Amino acid sequence: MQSLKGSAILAFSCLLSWGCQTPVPFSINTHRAPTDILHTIKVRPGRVLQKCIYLHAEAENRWRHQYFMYVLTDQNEVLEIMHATNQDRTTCNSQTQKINRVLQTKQLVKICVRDELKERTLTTEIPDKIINFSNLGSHKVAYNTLTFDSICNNRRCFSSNEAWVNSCPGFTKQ
Amino acid sequence: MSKYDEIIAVWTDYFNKKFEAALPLDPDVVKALIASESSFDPNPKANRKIALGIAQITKPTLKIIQDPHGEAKDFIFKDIRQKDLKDPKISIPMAIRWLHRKRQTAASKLGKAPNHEELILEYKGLLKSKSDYKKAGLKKYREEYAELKR
Repeated sequence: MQSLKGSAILAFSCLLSWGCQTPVPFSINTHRAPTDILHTIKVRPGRVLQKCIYLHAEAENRWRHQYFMYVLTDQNEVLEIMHATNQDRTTCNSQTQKINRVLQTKQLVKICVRDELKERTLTTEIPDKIINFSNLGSHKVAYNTLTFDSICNNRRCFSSNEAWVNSCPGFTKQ
Repeated sequence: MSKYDEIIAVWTDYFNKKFEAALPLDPDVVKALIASESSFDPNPKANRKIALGIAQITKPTLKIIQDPHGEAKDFIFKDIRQKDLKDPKISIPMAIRWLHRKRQTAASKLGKAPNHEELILEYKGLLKSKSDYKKAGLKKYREEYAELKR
């Protein structure tokens, strides 16, 4: 009886500790293409943030905005991902809205990004960057900025790579 | 190797001679700039109300480089319409001409000749930007330039 009680307590505490350590659904797989390094990230939509940043350019360049996406990893490190070129405010906001529609899912989304995943070296020119994921807390950008290619849920995709050329494996126009 | 290499080489050389550039403009700077502006798409859909073509030349810039009394009066283009900027054969020489002008404006802001990255920042209007993100505007340029120099 005593031993049965002991195992029940053990089972309960195992269950409790397993419950507390449920792994965050996140994965990143790297593919080396002939001219590119590509990564497929699978993540819960709640761990993805988007921003259009105004670059405060001068004169005839006042239109320049930069699209950024931030992804919170299972290690609570932030991946910073940007659109390759500058965009005007309308184009950038429209991209954000289209990607928001892809993020409207309870399932994982998959994101294709380019460039080497390299730890960020902090300098006076590159200070710490902290991103606020509201209820998931504020976390540091841990790697050099990656370049956005595409994002898909199980029904729809958005890509900045309109020709869908040299995208990550499994990413096709839907 | 892009299909625009030849046109870039010819016009870079032409304007280097025309402006007697002490430090000739490097065609790789032009190529990396174009990659960072449009990824070599001659008619990008994005930003169409403001910036056009492969080098994302803005409507105000188009005016300036055709104004015989304006800041680019030492070499102007004539009768170029906005829709012509979709043609790289037109927009590439205009971008190179504009880069030479931007070299002058950057030099006056910096008090010295700009290096290639400062020149690109000036082309994008970011040389004096206080945004923490202005270096993001250089990411694609740096990558392309490094690739060309490998």
